[in-house]
Amino acid sequence: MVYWEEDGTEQAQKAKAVVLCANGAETPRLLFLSASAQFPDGLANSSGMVGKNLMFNGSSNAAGLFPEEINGHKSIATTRVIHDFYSIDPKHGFYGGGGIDSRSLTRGLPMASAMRGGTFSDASWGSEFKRNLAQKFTHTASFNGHCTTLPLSTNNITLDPEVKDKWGRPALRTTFMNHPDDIATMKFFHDISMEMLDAVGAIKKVGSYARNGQTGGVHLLGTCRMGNDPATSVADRYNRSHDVPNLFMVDGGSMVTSGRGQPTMTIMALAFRAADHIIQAARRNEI
Amino acid sequence: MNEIQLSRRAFLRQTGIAARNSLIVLSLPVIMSSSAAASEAMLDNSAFKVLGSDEAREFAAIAARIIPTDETPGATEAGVIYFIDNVLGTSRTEALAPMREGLASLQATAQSTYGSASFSALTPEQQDALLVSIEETEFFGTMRYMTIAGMTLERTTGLRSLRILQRFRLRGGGQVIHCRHDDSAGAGDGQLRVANWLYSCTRQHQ
Repeated sequence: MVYWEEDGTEQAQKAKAVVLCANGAETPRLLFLSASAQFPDGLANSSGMVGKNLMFNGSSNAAGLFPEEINGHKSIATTRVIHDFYSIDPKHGFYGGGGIDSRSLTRGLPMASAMRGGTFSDASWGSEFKRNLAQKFTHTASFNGHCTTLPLSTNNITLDPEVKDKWGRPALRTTFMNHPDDIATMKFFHDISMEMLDAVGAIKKVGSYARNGQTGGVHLLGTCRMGNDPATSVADRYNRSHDVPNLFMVDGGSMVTSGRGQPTMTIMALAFRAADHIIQAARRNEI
Repeated sequence: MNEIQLSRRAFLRQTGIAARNSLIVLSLPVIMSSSAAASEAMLDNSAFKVLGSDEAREFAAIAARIIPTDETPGATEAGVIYFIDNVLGTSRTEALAPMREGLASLQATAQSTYGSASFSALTPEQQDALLVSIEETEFFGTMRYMTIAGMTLERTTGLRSLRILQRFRLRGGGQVIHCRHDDSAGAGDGQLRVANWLYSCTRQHQ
């Protein structure tokens, strides 16, 4: 493996196995940047699936203002996720599901609350803003829906043909538009959350979700999808490249569906399985 | 399809909603180091790093409408202008020119509307009317961001906030608000009181 240090010095490192864990955006970017005569479309990309099927997980937010102090800033409720809508009844006419939890809009930080300001379409500067901040911070709580995103080959990570990063290498380009069912799912969680705010006595409420189908986020899933068939997937069930036997890609990219909102534990479970497989393969002198 | 495409700028705006059009977004360590440097500059009554005295007075007047001095202290008492000068003179020098352009544009509007190019010389009502008219601009968004960032953290309370934050993260408990401000309560230092304002206005009954 050849890599560059921060100052540009080239280094080479021999390894029996390489485990790439840069997550579902930078992992495909690095694979594309590692194209060679042997791998003209990018390393480990004979299937053409590297970078495709990007999923972020959908989300919705509904914040309520309450007459009494409710201390919504005090952390995520520890017994947290409402799973009543984990699989939305198909009779609604779309596919999806997820969970709802309660988190502070501003991560419980007074400063972030001040920076945001105007949550309930009120003043974001001036004396009224100051008074609102003192009053509303401890009187606000919000419900967050976290839900499914469907895999679409048109949603992807590619190399930008024009924009470069500060080292002159092609920048990461994200192309994304939710499937209509994703939008319907986010709307469903938004509407349920707003109803919940009414039910618990919010005096003002404000909600949002990506009505235009352009979500974004740090859940970076699907771009090195796992599968048995090397023609349609990038990695095998052990996160091992079909094309390069001693390359493992262990991050959110291997997930073929988005799950219902929180992918970390799934990624960790897959990582344990991949690590076990690497150890077993090394013991058998296969890598 | 086109009407629902987000521009790159709109996308950044959406993802950085807290920054509200600001040209500048600062990490917590940068805010803290700039706050500490600004505190010292204010206490030492130092010269500004990059701002001329005229433009500093104008920027300070804008900050004083964003966080006004009313029943509680505001941006003026906090010395937010030293924070703005420090940020524009150190970590975000690239924003200095656009901020000067924004100020010049605001002054031109002040001249044509009220016959005075000096924003700071206008009445608070005139100042607010002008600021409302530029509320959606990057210039105002950046002024708002820097003013609030400069208000919220001060050297002493800033470090304290971070420690509390760390404790919060480690224990997962709700300790952020239940901090005490013993070291500032008896200090009689106007700046400490100001710096505690945004923080303490969210305190619970103890």
